[in-house]
Amino acid sequence: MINEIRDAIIQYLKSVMKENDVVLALRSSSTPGILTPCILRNKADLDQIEAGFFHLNNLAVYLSEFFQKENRLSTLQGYLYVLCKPCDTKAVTQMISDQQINPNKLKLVVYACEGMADMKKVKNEIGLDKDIKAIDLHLTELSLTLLDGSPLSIPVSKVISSKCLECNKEYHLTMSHVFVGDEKKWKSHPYSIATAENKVLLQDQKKGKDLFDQLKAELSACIRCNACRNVCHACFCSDRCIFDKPKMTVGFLDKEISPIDNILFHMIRFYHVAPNCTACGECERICPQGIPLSHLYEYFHRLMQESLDFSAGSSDSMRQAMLSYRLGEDLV
Amino acid sequence: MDRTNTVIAFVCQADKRKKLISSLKSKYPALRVIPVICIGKLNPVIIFRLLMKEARAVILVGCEPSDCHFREGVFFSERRFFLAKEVLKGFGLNDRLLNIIWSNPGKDALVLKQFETFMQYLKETQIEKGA
Amino acid sequence: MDETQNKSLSYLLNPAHYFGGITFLFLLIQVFTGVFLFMNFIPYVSEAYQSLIYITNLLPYGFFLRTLHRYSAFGMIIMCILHMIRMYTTGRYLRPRDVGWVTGVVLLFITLLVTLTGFLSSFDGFSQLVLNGMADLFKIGRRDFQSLLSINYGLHLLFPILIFVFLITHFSRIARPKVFPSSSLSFIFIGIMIALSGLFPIAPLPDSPNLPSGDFSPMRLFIGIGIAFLLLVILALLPYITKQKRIYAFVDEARCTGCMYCSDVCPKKAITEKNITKNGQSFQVATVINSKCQGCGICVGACRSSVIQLENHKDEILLEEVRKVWIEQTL
Repeated sequence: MINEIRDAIIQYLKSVMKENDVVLALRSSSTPGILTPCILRNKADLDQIEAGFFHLNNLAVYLSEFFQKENRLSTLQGYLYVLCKPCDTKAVTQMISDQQINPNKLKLVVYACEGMADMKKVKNEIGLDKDIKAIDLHLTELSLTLLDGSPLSIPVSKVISSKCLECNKEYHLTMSHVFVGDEKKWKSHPYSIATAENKVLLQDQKKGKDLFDQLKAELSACIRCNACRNVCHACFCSDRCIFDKPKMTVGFLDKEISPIDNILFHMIRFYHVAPNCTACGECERICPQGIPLSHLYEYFHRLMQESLDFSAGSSDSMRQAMLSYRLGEDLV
Repeated sequence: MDRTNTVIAFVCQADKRKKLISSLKSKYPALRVIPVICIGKLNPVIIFRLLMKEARAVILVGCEPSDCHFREGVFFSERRFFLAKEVLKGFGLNDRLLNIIWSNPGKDALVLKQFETFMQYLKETQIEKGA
Repeated sequence: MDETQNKSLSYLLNPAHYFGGITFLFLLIQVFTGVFLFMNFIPYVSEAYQSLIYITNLLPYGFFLRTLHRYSAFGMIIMCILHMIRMYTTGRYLRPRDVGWVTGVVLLFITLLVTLTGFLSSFDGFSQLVLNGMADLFKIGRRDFQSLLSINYGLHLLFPILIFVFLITHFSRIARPKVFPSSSLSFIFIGIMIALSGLFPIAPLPDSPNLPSGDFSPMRLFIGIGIAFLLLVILALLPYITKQKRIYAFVDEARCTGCMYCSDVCPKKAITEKNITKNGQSFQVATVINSKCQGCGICVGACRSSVIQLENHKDEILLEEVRKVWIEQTL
């Protein structure tokens, strides 16, 4: 099934790709289970494309770089095709709303996703002391070969990302895109078994000092590598970020790594991205220290929806929540 | 750095609040009053930094939303400070430490009364940083 | 114990914020009742007074609508003056709001003229004065009642059109203007007007109309109008003769991401997009229109990368002040 989707995507791209078009997709890397982004310019290279269960990356984050920092798209003669899972399209929509992307030269290739793996769960299943040599998906089983040669089989339901379990199978796109695969069948896919409505967040379970102590302990592991900031599509300031500006750093936040400074960093960053965050989970995935950032972004995502009736990535013409107001709302 | 007992007040300067500022300064010597043109100018990032490091509490005094001298500015800052308070709550901090008072420039007495209540609250509760 | 806020619970009901809107409301009442009166008043000498008697005594609600028309006129002028006083005391006439103020003064003048021409319908002493004045102004014989009637009538219909024309400019210079009062306030004021009209009807028509004659000298009228005109000219020039120090916001174009958050929150819509070229490629950045900028700094609070700042009042300065506070405290 997964291979079918991959073949269908490659076939589609081969049929529409023209002379000056460029494709932003993923191919396999030297690490099993991790796909690396690649830019393909020739039809012959299209066979390298991988998609499906290990498509963990949200490729939308590269688009703002294309437009702002390098602006290569202004010199691009053809189109830019981007391979997206349906949930990634929310990020693209939100960036269009924030005027970071011009959708004119962009074409999204969305496909029938069946969920993605959570490599941390895979690691937990096989044991943290073991390494993977090869990994592959066969229908509902993940078959691995460990470094010592022994094979292992894990059911997909154990390693699928929890975000996929709550997928509501919706995506709204007004820009030009194509859906590869059977959309109706995808909507009725059995993998989403939980709904996001009654989710219990950390902020519901703990309050006040307990909550602060736990978050402080979790965030004290932060080494301020800025990976979460770099992989986040909502952080589109990129090289103009206030945490890099010399005066600001001296003024607002010291480079010193202390629990309080770490908290301040994440507080400021989440305050900045809260209206744009689509809860894609990339920050948590990419963190080298394994900090459970979902404790934070899930809270803000729910807050935006419940209090301000705003869902990031749902519309490319409606501006984000902080830029509008309703008369008579008694928020503060 | 230990949390100090400083309380910082940002007062919107639009319509001649000099009398309020002077009465606040005389009544609460420990209070640091910083006038700004409009509290819509304040970036909550500054407030986060203050609350985590230098100050114990931050009070903002702004014009009522319908009467902002600069028209709709206060509506947007209302949402901004709402998000700021929610961020504090989401991290487990006491969001009452960020206190926002909406009052028109003529209503000095009410503002002073609110300051009084708030200072009382700060004194009574042994709030440590982060609770 | 949530006493940390002091929101005026009924700002939607507070008329002080809606003087302009109430004036507009009364104007609409005037137009509405005016249309009714227009349909029934005949501006020909032989029938003018008869049609007036017809409206007042015979038509159902005719008398009520005439009363309403008159009281709304007074209400409109009172609200207009209150609106002007409020704009002046809160300093909302200074640049960049000068166009709104000047058009407002012009609107006040036209409103006064409309009221003058409207007095004709009462056929009393004052209307005689007005007609005499018009006769002298337009060099028409005072016995030529028909011409006077036509001119008066024509002006009374022309001036509201002028009012609407100026209103377009008056409103367009304000970003997000409050044209109408809130619905509850509208109902309250309409209710007050209807009650007043019902309870205190205007004096009934005299038995015979007072036509213009040679007895009344219109000099008082001209002097009155002349003084009003001079006062209003001085008022209109106020924004240009008061000294003002203006502060603008400016954008650091090298660091702007072009997200336009500042533009969305600007109360005066003073920030727009601009394309700049950097390294041969074009990028979108924000740029401030100085003539519209009122120096409030709300854009500064919205910018994520602290790219837009106010002159003389940068965030760094604010932070310096705060750090001084901390240093003072710990020493």
